[in-house]
Amino acid sequence: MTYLIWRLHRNQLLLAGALLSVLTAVLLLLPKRDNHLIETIDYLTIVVPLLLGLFWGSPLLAKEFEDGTNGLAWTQCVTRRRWLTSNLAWTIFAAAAWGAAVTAVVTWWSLPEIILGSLSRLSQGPFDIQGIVPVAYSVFAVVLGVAVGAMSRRVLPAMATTLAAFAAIRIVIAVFVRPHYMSPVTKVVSLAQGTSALPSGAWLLSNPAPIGRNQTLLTYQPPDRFWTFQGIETGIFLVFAAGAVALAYWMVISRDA
Amino acid sequence: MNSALAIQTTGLGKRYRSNWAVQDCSVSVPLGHVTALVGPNGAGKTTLLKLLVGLCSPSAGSAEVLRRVPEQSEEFLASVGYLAQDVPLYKRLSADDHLRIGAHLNIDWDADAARVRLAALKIPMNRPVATLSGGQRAQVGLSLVLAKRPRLLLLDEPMAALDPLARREFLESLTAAVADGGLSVVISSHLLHDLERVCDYLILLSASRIQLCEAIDDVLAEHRTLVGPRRALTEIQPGLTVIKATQTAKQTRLLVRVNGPVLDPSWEVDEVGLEDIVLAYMEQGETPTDSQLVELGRAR
Repeated sequence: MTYLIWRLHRNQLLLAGALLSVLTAVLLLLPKRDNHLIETIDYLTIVVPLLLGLFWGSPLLAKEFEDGTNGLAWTQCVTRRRWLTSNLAWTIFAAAAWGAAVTAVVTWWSLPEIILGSLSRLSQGPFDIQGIVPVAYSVFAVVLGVAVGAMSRRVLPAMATTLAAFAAIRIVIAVFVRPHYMSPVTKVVSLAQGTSALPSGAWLLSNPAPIGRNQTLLTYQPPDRFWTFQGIETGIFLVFAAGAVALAYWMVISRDA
Repeated sequence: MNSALAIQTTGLGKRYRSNWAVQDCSVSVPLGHVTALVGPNGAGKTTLLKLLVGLCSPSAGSAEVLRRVPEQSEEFLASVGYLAQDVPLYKRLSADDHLRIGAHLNIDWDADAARVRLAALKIPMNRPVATLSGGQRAQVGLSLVLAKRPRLLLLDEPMAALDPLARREFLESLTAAVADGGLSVVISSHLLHDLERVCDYLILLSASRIQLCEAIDDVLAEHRTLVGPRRALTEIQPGLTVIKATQTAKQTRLLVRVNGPVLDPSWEVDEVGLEDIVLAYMEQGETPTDSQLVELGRAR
């Protein structure tokens, strides 16, 4: 199976390797002081998991169904279960490795700029392109694509569905769920101090609420919760990924060819 | 349970939503035959083959192929070769790539024989199969499925897209492979003409149901045309089963299945070719029966 997968997808892998090299080269060659440009490139990597889901995940099985080659593979001496397990294992491995590599490049090159910028490491944006969550996003995106492809059996509908579902889930989690992973901390400070009274890098969750004449209430997540939040969000996406894997097995093993 | 059976099905059926693609299908095919699976388009040939190779699961009844239930096990998959309609291959890969992949995916793999076959047919080994002709692709597909050294080969309209020359080459290749021994074959087509020369067993499928399943020699021996003065179909001797009747003002022409000699001397009895027999059964499957015609007459 490994040989089949390598032979079918080696061009994609080589392309992915080339893109990673280009990204690294661009970051290396850019003048280090142009923070704005580097930040822009960093933020562009936020779409990497989605692209992996669209271009590796969705077509993986859907293309086989479209061309009828699943019937070829499933009548060799390979059970459907083994066929799917190999396909999933290698795709997950490649997506995790690639997601981790991109994150590593971005972090290694530009972490200071991201932390020292005006945004908290915990807020939407910086949080999503650092640490371990990009790997979980990448894994979830590809298995979502694989499962949707096994369901629709058509490449383009699978890509469209993966795009919509992945974007919706990511946005809902990042905007509505993430602020509540742990109870936020509240602090009453004088108006004169304002947000400068917060620890550096704190994630302010709501606009300062004035209390009385010269005091204000701040609700925030402290910056030292970064890795806890990363762990929680990684866990959430890995559970989603497990669900998508189960769906893919169900679609491949119980449905007719 | 007869150990010499390649295929045995009992009441096998497959339903897609409310439509039965194959219904109440009971067939037995002994080992060692080349079987023609014949029927009009949409009769259920593809579904029957998919049920036999385990790509579909039955909605009713059961199937046994080489004494095993078609299932997802390496032992079963190793014993059966299947070539799907339109010969799906990985378009961007070459014939050589396909042979290498096959070697990795199968327990028993005769790559040398496949290479010799493809070389003899002058098929380019290193070009993407998408650039090959339909006939060449069919030959690649056949070589792949033969390289598995299956005991039963199921071929779904492998010649549908081929020109007459490529058809002949394909059948010659197939005949040579069968001659090497130990191989049973089921080959489906909506054209009997191609298969008559290579097949010795017949499964006739029409309107989702089995009409015939027996040795072609027996089919030929037991069918006759009868021509004689016009008479009502009810006056025909017992033991003759009318498959097709054509009435003119003066004459009755029948295609019958005989079960013993034809006694009535007023019939002129003739042998009948396989193609006519098959067409008669297909028409029977698709045209209304006598009693339905009577109903129609009353409605008018």
